[in-house]
Amino acid sequence: MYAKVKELNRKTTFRLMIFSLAAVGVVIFTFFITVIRPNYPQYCAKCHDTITFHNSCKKLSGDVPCIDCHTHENRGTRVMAVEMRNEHCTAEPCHPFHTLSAKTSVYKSIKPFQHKTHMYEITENFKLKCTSCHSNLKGKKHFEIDERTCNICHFVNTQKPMYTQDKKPNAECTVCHGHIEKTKEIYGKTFQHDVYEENEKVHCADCHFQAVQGYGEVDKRNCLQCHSNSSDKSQSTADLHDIHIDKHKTACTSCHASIKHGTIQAKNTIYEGNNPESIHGNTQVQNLIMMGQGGKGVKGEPDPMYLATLNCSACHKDEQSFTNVAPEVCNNCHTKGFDKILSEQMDFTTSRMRLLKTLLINAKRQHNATDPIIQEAEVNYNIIREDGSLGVHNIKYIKDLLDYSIRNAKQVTGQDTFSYPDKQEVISRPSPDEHQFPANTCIDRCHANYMEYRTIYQGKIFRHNTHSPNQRLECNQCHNNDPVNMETHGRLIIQKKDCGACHHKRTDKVLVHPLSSKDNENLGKSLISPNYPLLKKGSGAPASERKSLNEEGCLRCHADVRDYINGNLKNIIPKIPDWMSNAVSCTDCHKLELNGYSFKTVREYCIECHNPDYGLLYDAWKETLDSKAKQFRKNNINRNIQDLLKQVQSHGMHNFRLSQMFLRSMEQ
Amino acid sequence: MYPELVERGVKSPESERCGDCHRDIYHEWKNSPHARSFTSTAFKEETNDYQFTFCLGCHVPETIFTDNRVEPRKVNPAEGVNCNSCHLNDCKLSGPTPARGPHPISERNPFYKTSELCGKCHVSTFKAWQESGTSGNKKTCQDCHMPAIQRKLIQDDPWQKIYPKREGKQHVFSYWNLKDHTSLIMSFIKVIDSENTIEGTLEIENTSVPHSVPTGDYGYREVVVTIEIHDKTGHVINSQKESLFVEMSTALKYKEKRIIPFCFHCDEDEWIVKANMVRTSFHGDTDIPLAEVVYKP
Repeated sequence: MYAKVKELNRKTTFRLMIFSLAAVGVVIFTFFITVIRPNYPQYCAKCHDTITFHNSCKKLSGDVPCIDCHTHENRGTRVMAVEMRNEHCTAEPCHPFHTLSAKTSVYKSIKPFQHKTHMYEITENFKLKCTSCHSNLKGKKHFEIDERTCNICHFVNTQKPMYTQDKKPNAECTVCHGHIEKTKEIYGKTFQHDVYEENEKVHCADCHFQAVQGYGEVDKRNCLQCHSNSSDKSQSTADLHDIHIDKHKTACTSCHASIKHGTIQAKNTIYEGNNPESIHGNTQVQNLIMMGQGGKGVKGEPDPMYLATLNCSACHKDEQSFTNVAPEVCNNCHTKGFDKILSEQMDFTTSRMRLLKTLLINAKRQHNATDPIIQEAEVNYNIIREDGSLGVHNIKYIKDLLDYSIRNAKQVTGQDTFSYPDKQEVISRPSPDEHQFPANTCIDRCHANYMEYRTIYQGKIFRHNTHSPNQRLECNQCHNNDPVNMETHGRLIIQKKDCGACHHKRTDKVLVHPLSSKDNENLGKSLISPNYPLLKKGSGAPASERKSLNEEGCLRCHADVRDYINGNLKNIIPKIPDWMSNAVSCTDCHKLELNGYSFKTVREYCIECHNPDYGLLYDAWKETLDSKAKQFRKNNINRNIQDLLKQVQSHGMHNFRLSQMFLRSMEQ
Repeated sequence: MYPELVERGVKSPESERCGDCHRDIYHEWKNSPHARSFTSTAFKEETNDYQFTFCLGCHVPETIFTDNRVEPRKVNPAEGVNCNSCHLNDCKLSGPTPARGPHPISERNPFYKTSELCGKCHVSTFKAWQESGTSGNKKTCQDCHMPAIQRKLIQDDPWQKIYPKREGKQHVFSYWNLKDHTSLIMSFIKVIDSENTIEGTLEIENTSVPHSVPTGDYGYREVVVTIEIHDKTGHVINSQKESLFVEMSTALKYKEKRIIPFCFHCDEDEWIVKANMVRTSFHGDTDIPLAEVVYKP
């Protein structure tokens, strides 16, 4: 029995032992499955195969088990927490906060990103968690940052604007964007982005169109995506942020409408005709003009401001009607002086438009209004008028349109068009192009109205049109054309002797003013001095006749000297003429060198006509005037006196008694 | 006696001292351009208030008897060209006539009858005179500018009572008193009246002024020939002017004839053409007539 029992027990024991071992095995297996395996990410990845870790996670601590972060929530074993506390991330072996703060990270091409600037209470109850940004909302990478989250925080349209720690509005471009070394070629000029970055008056938005699109508003319907009933919940922003951001991990985009940020690609969509209403109500004509389109008969080019992607609001600061533009606005981006260009362009267009209008009226009266040329001109007239910028939106295009239409209209009405002088008659002819003069770009856009300039040169009104285009001079033959240094840009580089190269040149040909509507009174008159042969002294011609003939050319430019000789000055009564004023002409004392344009010294002709004593007299005059004038100029700041002294110094020799009188009166 | 009358330098005597005895000459000189050569407004202005000193040699000469440039006198500049300027020669008071007097005298000095004396200062006029040939009846400067006169050399009592009258020269130094109207001749060569246009030529001739008209080196010297057409009431209908200047090479030289053409439009039936030649000043306020001619059709 005992043996039987013993036998039975052994079997049972054996079975029990096997059973126990199996049980222990099961327990160990279960333990392995439930406790050890989840510590390996592969375990989770068997199902969550779309998730990839950032490589650096692995390097730091081997494979980080998912459950290190995704711990159980106390709501049953099957629910793993998707939300995680910052401590999980900032644990010592992972991303301790001090290491995160110490270094910056590169994110896109913006300024280096700093964690520490994002980890504080930005507004009441609103503090970012690691997972607020590293939220894997976008897809592959587990900690991928969703750009929309950045945009919502930075650009959300709130009543309480958010500020960075150094009190900058966090929507300001420079918070993220630093120095950009970008250049762009615009009609031969190089646009440099960095030049404008330093300019405080230029805003990014002046050029970068609608860089922020959307307001990030919260639509209540978004609540219903998660909550069945939201009406009884708290509506305070602080509370909502506390619940959704701090206590739970909710993507910003779940509640906020998303905001787009970035440069609008594919040219300026603002100007693209497909959806103009979305930008401004009725700016189609202006858009066309800026693009160099819309007119007839001339192939236009976009305005450089268009190519620079300039925003309308860059100039139209007037937020009421957008029509008033203060000229000074140009100087925000450009250097001083550009404000004048605006009014110049407008003046030019106004006068040309007036001319075109008159021509059109005449043309329609004389001809059939359906003449295609007239119709074309009318279309151009109307589009320029409709544009309303008076040329400013694309001055070159508008100028070309006007020139083209005016030329055509003149032909139709039979009015003479401008013709250039015969080639033999002009002195310098650097370019063969008949209709492009001057050939350089100065007058294309900036100095559009240069022909109307009334520059005072040596006390006289200098007329540009008689020199260019009429004499085919290029701007840079007389002016400095430094594109960079606006201090020197435009300054006269021509010297007196250069003027003399044309004006004093001896020639048998009579140089005449070519046709010019405003200069008809000069037709056929000598352009330069003098119209040789000179009438020599004692030639038998009456003195006054000889004098006036010899001086005709000189007086075109030097009439002020003649006035001085005649004592014929403003406010000086009685006249004090010089003795020589009666009979001596300019060319009796001022004789040309062999080079044909510079002059010999006068002194020798004093001696030639008179005697050696007059050479001494010449020296004495010169010395007296020079020393006195210099002395007074130093001691006197009165502008009238300075002007007078300037005259005395420059041509006081021509009337010594008058100069003496001036100097004496100053002495008193 | 009176050795101070031949002093030079700072002791140079005033002309008034000479005038004590030579009263007539003194008064002639006092009204002559020589006495105004320093004080004239024009000279003052042109020399910048006498600062241009190189003019002073001739305008205030101490004595013209020097081989170099004439030097200015150190005293009495206001007297301009005074007695001693010309008459002090080699420490004696010199002259062309026989003379006796209480100061050192060098009498019968022929130099005083020559143009060269004047040429010491009036250089270019003298040169022109020299170049104008050597024909027998050519006049010297003195012939015209110092008209001859029969008188005593001194006028103070009692010495003048014993002084004989001789041919002397008036010290007027000017063409003011030129009474001779044959030296410069103007004549109309031809005058044609056709269809309200009067066209013609005027001839001007310097027959016997042995230098150019005008002449000289300094100051304003203009001679104007004016041709005028008058209606019967004497009103000037039209006129034409021609200026003569040395510097412009338009001065009328000795023995030179010049033709001046003229052309007037005239609707009147009765008219006369007048021409005159005047020495004018810069402001045209002191015209000295030199010649005149009238043409009546």
